[in-house]
Amino acid sequence: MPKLQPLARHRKGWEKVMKYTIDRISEIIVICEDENGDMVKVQASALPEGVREGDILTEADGTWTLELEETERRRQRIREKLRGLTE
Amino acid sequence: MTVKKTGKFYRRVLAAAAILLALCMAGCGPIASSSPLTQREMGNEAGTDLRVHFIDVGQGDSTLVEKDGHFMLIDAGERDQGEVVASYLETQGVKKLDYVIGTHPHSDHIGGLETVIRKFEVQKVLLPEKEHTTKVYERLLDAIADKNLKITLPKPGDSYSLGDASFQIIAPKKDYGDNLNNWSIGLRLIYGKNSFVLCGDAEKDAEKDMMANGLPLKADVLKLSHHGSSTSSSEGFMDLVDPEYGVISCGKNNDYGHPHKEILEMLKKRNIKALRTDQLGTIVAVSDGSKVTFPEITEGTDGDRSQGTAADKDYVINTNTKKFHRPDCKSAASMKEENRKTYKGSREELIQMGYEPCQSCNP
Repeated sequence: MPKLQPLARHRKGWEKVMKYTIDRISEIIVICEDENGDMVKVQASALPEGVREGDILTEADGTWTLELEETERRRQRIREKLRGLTE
Repeated sequence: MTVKKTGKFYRRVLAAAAILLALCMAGCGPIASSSPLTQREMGNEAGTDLRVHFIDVGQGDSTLVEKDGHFMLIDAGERDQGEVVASYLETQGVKKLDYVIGTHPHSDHIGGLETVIRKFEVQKVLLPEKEHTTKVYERLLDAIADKNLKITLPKPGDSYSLGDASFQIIAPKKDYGDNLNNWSIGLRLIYGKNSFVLCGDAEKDAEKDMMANGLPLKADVLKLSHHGSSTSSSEGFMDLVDPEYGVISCGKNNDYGHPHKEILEMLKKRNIKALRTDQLGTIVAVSDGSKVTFPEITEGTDGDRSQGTAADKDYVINTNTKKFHRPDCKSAASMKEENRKTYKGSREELIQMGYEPCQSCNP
């Protein structure tokens, strides 16, 4: 079975902000990739409205923020990488 | 041949060697040496059977196609399934993959591909022209680059050969924006009179475009898109594919309720036999060019069971503790009447509904 871990609920306040990338949105469940490359499940209702697959989010004390600039930068960089490898 | 010594003896040795080499190249190809040069040496034009392995990777997709010692891998499940897929490939004698297809960038499809690409010789990689920002996707691109491979973009209508079978690209037809599922590479695999259709997680919009592009869609076996989700397998698409078998690749008690009830009902109504990896494990379909069989699946464990009829049993459920029991379990008898309900159905359904099996009667 895929290693899907529920998101840890209680994180100490002083711990650094966690970063996630949305791998896929399946109705109410959103699968996010954490910084270690593990996939975690998040309820769609916890995330900012209108998030899309591929968006990068940060989470601190249960508050999620869409990192629009970083998302665009990363999207652009990987798009270039894909183009460079295409026949 | 560039040997300069031209004595009679050398010429004879050379000629013999050349004949041997030619025989070997024509006859055995990459097939394991333990299988004698039988069928094709004896002039069997059709070659060996086509085998399509729907590998059990839990909640995800991975399909290995094998024809005349040539192999194609479509998806490889989540990242932690990479090793599982790689060892399955090894047991099937895969040394080289003629094609590796990543249908679309979701991790339950491309996750294991990095491991596979690094482990095996790969000839051609097909990915849709749609990037993803995950690390697992970028690692796949890096593996492709490290192996000095290029990515071939799928174009509907393009055909490729796999031994004496072939496959035609049927999707994606256009830019589907942020809907990664609809970017799925769809293909129709053809051998003799038999065909298979596999379209990753393509949803109804993409199916509509496949229906409109004029390419044949009829198949004996359809891998139901998106793990049997109701986002896919629209009526019109099912009318055109009109399969005898529907394979569903999904994990036991997955979080998404795949396959969806509506889809199982639709299959039943259309008299399509449902075969599920969550119930049967890895499923192997074999085609001799005129008939598709599933030799490892015995009658009675296929369609009927997967549609929940044969597996229906009586249970007693406790709506308070959310446990389920056999009707003759002691705790079932001592349960408070207001919490007690009887249920007819399968164990899997109960687990999906959030119930746990009783530890003493182990239903």
